[in-house]
Amino acid sequence: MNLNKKQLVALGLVAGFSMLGTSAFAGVLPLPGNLKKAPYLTYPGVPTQMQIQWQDTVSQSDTIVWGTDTTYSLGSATVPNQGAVPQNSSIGTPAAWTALAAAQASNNQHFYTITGLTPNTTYYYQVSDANGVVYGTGSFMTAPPVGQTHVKFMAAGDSRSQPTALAAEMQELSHIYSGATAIDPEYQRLLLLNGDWVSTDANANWTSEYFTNDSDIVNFSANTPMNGAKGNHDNTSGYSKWFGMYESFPYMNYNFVANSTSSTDKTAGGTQVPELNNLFGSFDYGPVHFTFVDEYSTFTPGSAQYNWIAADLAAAAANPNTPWKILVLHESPYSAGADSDNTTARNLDTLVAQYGVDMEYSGHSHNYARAGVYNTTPAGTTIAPGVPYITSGAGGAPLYAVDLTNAGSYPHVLTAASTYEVMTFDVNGNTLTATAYAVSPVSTSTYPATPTTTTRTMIEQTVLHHFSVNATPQVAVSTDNLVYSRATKTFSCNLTVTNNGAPLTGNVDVVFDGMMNLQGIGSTFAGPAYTGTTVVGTIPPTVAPIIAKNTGLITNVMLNNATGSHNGEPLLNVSTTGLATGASVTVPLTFSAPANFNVAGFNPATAKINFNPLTYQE
Amino acid sequence: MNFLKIKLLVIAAFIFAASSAFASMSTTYDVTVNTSSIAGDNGYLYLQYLSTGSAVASTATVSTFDSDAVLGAQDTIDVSFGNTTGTLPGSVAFASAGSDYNHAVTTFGNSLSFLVTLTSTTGANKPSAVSTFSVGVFGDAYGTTPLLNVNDPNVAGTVAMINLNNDGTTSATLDASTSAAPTPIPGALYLLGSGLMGLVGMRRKKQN
Repeated sequence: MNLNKKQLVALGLVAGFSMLGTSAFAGVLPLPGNLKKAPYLTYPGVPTQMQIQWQDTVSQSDTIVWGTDTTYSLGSATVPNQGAVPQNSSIGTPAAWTALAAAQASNNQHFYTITGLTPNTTYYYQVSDANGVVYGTGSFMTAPPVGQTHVKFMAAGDSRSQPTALAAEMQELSHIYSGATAIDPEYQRLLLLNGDWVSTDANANWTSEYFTNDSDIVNFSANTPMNGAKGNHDNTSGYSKWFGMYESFPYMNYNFVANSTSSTDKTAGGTQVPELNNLFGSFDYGPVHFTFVDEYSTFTPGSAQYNWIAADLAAAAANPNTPWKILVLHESPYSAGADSDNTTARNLDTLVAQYGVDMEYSGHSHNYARAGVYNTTPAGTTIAPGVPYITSGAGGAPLYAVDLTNAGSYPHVLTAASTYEVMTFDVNGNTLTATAYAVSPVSTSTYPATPTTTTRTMIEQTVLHHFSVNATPQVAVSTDNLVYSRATKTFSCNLTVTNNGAPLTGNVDVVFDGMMNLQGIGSTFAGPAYTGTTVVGTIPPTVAPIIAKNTGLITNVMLNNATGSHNGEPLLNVSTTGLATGASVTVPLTFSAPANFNVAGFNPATAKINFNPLTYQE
Repeated sequence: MNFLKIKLLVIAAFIFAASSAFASMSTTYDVTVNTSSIAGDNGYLYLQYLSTGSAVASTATVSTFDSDAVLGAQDTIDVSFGNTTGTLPGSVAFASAGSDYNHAVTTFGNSLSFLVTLTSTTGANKPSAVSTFSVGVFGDAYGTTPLLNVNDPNVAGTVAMINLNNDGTTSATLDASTSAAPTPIPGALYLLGSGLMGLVGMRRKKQN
């Protein structure tokens, strides 16, 4: 089939040069030539490489060219039917990679890894067939070099089942790095996914849900590599078939289980698709180490995967180039529902605490939620204190309600919102900023008849700090009398920090731990009643007055003059010039109560504000 | 004493008086609250004098209270610090920026008014330190149910906030129901000084 000039121009525009991520029209693109699935990207785990893949309807050789601009003058290659290859020979089992590559080639798939690239560089590429018909164009930004201390990337999860919703999500993701509402072009680098890419691990589902050739999906996929974990919907009795075929990550420890026997699991060339398990692996991305867990291959303590995760996290903890560690697994051990928490995943809590994992990033429940505890692990649990457990599972699949009661099945919820969402991560030296955004409008049925442009609204922002010194044991912190102003509805007092230990230098911060008096240090979350079907978290996420279990007093007040936050708790910079031994610094504090402040019988004249001051040197 | 010396003395006296006023400055506001929208209701009139940060020592005094409301009793229980002397409709003195006063109102009328005088000793300019005299009208003793200025949750119930800065300057934030104008004391002093000098000059001329 030959395309006319108009169709070729349209394909070139929407399949995308790097900065033309904005698409105001969502619709299915015509497929040129013998193209079956348009080019899409996967980061192979090496900063100087990028993996591009696509699929044809017949066996043929195509051409890929690339360069630092659209003259594509850096390199070219002829790409026959061929499959993905492992990052190195020690990754996975040879049988798995051999079977996979053979099946992918038989399926008219093409995988090509461009090598010799420069980190932190934007490249452009084009795929065409032997007749010169352009199958797709795109761009990508290579990974940061080893040792770089800053990086930005995006994240989402549970894209399954509703391709129109996925299209809206991907349109908005492209808006994050390009167009009128772009935050930073660097976000084009990478999209992290946490599982449930499609509703069933079948070829037909991958085609109809993911590779619909929708312009928003094609455009985004051609310009941002997508790497992630496997979900339960990408799983069949402990292994994956088509997930491995279409999303081959060269750093995964694939193990060959068997050749599938179903007649529907054959490639275009008639080969049975291999069944693989052990879809776990890791890679470094600038200062961040990602560890991907396969919850559908055994990972209980003592298993091969558990031991691998422990060794992987230990190595990351010892690596000065990866101070930030994120554990990516589909089913969270601590969510806000409505799917059940994965209690087996709680076996990883001790590793998380032991090796200083900064965050667990999950999906499975189709909403946004942040769960966690502060200071101490509550008796009878193993949850790692001070670690946010993020659920980011509203990337296209049907939405779930959230449970904010902090009772029963979901006892550690901090914030939650039932909305389609995406996330951004901004890592800069000793600070990581994770921002969740609600996306709208999101169509879940047929394609819109008229052009639609998506927008985003911030749900919340969670900032994590790596402090150089925990000065809490060596300082004395006190406050004078708290006074309440009925005029401004604020509480005021002065905070004094006295250093009784070694000199502190530079920025000294106080984190007001326990301001929300969360589960784990004795609280009852008096949130809205959960009916099981009707509660929908709001944006900003719902946070109701939190009554201290031990005192009966409201504790979730806000520190008005906070200079920042740490893991959701207020942070106040008390000194920029350190604090000598024996020296003190006094700073004013102003607190305001939340809008829903009126509790029957509450007398502000006798109110108390409880918090646990944690002092750090940055 | 020749005319020049008298003139200098008057000038010096004026400068001294002006300097003293500047070093221990008083500013008086004439406050009027329109309560016609809540006429017939009961509630509380709450007065607060509070400082934040490192404001220098200052006092506030409420005087010449006038209203068609029916006052109840002073509430000395539901206050944060008290630290006042006197009771309405008489003068009420706020001993420091850390005082509050709560008075029950049996029936609000159409208006209430009073003078409030803020007196401070100036120090180094500390722009972040402010003492604030505020006026609130609430339906309950705790100040959680606003009767006026009900739409802004951050200052609900508060109808006036008069700020006294460490350099002696003042400013006011008012609800639509309330007016608060400073009385023109510095201008009067100039008039007095000029008048005195004129009298001395006339007397000297007469003597000559």
